[in-house]
Amino acid sequence: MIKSILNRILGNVLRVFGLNRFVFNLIEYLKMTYLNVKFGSQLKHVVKRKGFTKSKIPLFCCVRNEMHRIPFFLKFYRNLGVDHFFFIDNNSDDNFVDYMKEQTDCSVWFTKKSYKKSNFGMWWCNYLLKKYGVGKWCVTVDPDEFFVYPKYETRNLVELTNHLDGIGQKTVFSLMIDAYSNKEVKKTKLTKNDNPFEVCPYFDRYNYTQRLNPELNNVWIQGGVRMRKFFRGKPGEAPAQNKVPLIKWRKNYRYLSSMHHTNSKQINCTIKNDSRFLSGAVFHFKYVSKLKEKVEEEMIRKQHYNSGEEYKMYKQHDFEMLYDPHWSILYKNSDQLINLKMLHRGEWF
Amino acid sequence: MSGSNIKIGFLLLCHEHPDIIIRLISMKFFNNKNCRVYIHYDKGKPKSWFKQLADYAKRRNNIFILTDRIVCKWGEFSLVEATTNMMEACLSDTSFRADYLYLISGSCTPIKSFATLQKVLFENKETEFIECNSVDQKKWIIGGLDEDRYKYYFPFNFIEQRKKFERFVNWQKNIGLERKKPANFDPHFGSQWFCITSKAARYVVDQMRVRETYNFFKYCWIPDEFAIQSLVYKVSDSHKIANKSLTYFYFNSFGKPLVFYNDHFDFLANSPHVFARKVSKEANNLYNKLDEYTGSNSIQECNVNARKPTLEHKLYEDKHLNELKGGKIGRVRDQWKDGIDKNEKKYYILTGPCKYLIEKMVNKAAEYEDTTVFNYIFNKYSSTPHAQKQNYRGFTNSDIIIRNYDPIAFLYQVVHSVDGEVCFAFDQDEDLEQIKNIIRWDYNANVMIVEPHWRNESEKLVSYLNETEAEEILGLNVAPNELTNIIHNVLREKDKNLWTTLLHSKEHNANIKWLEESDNYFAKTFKKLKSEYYQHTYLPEPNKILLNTLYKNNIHI
Repeated sequence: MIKSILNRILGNVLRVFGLNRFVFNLIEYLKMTYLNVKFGSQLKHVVKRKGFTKSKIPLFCCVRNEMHRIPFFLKFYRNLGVDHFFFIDNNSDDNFVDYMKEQTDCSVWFTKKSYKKSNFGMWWCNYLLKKYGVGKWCVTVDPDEFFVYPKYETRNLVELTNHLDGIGQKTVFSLMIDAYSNKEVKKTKLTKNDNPFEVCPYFDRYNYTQRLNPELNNVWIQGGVRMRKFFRGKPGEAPAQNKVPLIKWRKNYRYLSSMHHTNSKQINCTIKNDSRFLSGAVFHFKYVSKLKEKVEEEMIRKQHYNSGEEYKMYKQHDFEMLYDPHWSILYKNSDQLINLKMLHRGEWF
Repeated sequence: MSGSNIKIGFLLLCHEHPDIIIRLISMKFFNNKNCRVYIHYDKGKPKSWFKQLADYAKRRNNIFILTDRIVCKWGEFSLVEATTNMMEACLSDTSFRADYLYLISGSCTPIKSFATLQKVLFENKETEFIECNSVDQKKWIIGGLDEDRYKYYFPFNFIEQRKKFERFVNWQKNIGLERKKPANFDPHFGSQWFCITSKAARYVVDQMRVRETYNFFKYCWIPDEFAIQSLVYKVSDSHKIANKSLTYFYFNSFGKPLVFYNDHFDFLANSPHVFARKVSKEANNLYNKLDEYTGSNSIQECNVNARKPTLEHKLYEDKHLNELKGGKIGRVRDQWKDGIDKNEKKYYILTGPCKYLIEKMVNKAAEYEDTTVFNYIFNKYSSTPHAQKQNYRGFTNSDIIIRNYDPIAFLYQVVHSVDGEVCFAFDQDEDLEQIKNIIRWDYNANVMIVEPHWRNESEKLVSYLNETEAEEILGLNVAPNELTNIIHNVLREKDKNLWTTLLHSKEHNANIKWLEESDNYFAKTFKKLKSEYYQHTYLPEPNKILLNTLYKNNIHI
């Protein structure tokens, strides 16, 4: 409150001299530099690889006790053409670092600091992105998220980014698809090396709503199984289902909240005004038996968004079955997503 | 087989990494005694690259690499000069005597067998497969300079010396300079990738040796798109020119060439062309598959007809390139329009004046397993997908919240809730205005208007009123004689039968019909149900009283 009043007074005073833009930009820049240094210094480079700065398509990811997903995660993204993984390990106790030491294309930064205070890991990612990602096509995802795009089965990220460079598309706007199995969540076991696309092959096909977010020039999507199951009574609070996981990074970019949007209005939703561009999708495999442990831990830790409001909702529903024959559809391939109009291939033939 | 002794010299104009060039020329397609490859490798590239390629060429007896190379730059004469150098090398190869010369690039790849190419050339004897479009038609160049390309001097490079380039062109325009064209110069534009007879090639090479012609083309802009084309046009009979290329290429709306990936094998194999451009460097699977396919000795289907140009190709292109491009995710302008755009499935709406009759029919129809009928789900005051059941087709009685959050998305969900077709009841007074507009302008909406069997006009009039209106009229305490006038006034005010009015106007996109005239699955069901029900019972209580008052006072309209 006081802050906004001060801002307004300062703005009006400076406007007289025509300096308001410059001063606010300067304040913004100093603030960003400060946060960058602050959160950057929290990270300790524990697994170093030779020539890791030369990677062409790097991937950035913040991890905490996710070993049950990592082997497939690496396999999936290596297959897509990611040539170096930048992991931030937030105090895992499942031998994550030891496993990473065996991989030749992974670097790890370690921190014990608060996940919440660093804007749910975003500041750590922003720091690494600014340091190692500028000028490159950077993938930024959570360990339970799998980025797909039209025909990703037969075309790799190098081909995709060559096309994007050719047509001048700077980012890939993506729909986040929550996938689940046809069993109860607590009985859906995902272990090491399991393919989550096989363990959780179902997703909601039609119940998505989208509205404009003029402040960030973004399209705000809600829906899927989260809306249907957990937020049907209060749809306004359902979490956002849109992400921007692939960006050709520039030094003034930064993610604001969990890859949903960035500070730059031009890149938040590139396909909004040009149907010739393409969009992607992010498969989100959250609903497995491990969620129960995570929720119970979270009830104590309280390190997640909106003080774990979403997690309380999960507990309420007691990890029951999410599958419903009227809403769910079995995942086949990216062509299916195009036919369901959840992906947009634009002019990428 | 006839035509199997046709000899083809390939002119490979390239600047890519030698690994990619070697991958291309080591394809089985080029391993043929009737085929020779002459390579011009860009001088601007590292020496070690050239050496690698030259070493490979030495090991093959039908691949030759030109030693006098030039630096090639996009848009400059160097590309034409390199091409004519290769043509000269090919024509002076006395041990080979090529019948045809085919220009390809490092990112081209064969998509048909060598025998197929021979057959195509044999069937279209002495045809020049080269695009020659007259500059007057102005069809070929979309945007950018056309006639200016040879009107002025272009000594500067477009990419490296952009400012000088533009300034110099503008200066020439301002002073009204115009270059002298060589005699008989008739400019024709077309793609660079040709397949021409050695006779035409000989003429091109000879002409390029003439100082006047050489100097003219040297300072033109993008001469690779008209220099050789114009010369070939001059020497050949016009009916011998196919005006199309045997190489498949396509430029998207960004002006970028189409790139082929691993999943394009079927598209390329069925395309009526012999070569394709460009193939992604990463598409190893596609290369292997094509190597297998084009390496065979058999003749494959390749429907090239020199007489009937482009139409076939266009149809083929349209069929594949313009098929479904994807969805509306992230493509939101305004919600109202978005709701219509998103849906491509037909849906059915049952509407009409007698609300209770419709409700009765819908409730009955919903009991059938294979029919999906919702009742008034867009009612402003409540949303129950179906009266009897708690959970109907994935919807529950509490869905009013989610419906009110985004009614259009809810409509979309309802329409797609089952694989089959969906029908719902809609009341034009009590249901959401927003949805009414959607239905009205949606091509996929099929509105069926149902009216009960009236016994007389009074009944008809009264049934058009809704409960509250009837109550209000009853509460007015007016003389019975004036009742009919009041009812008429009320109905006139509320635009009583929107759908029936629309029936006769053109201000809608929906398919609006009487139930009796409709012919679909739901119409059949409802027609049957309607004959079972008798209307009188289903008037709401106040309407019944009103009707009785009319009867009592012997007012018959």
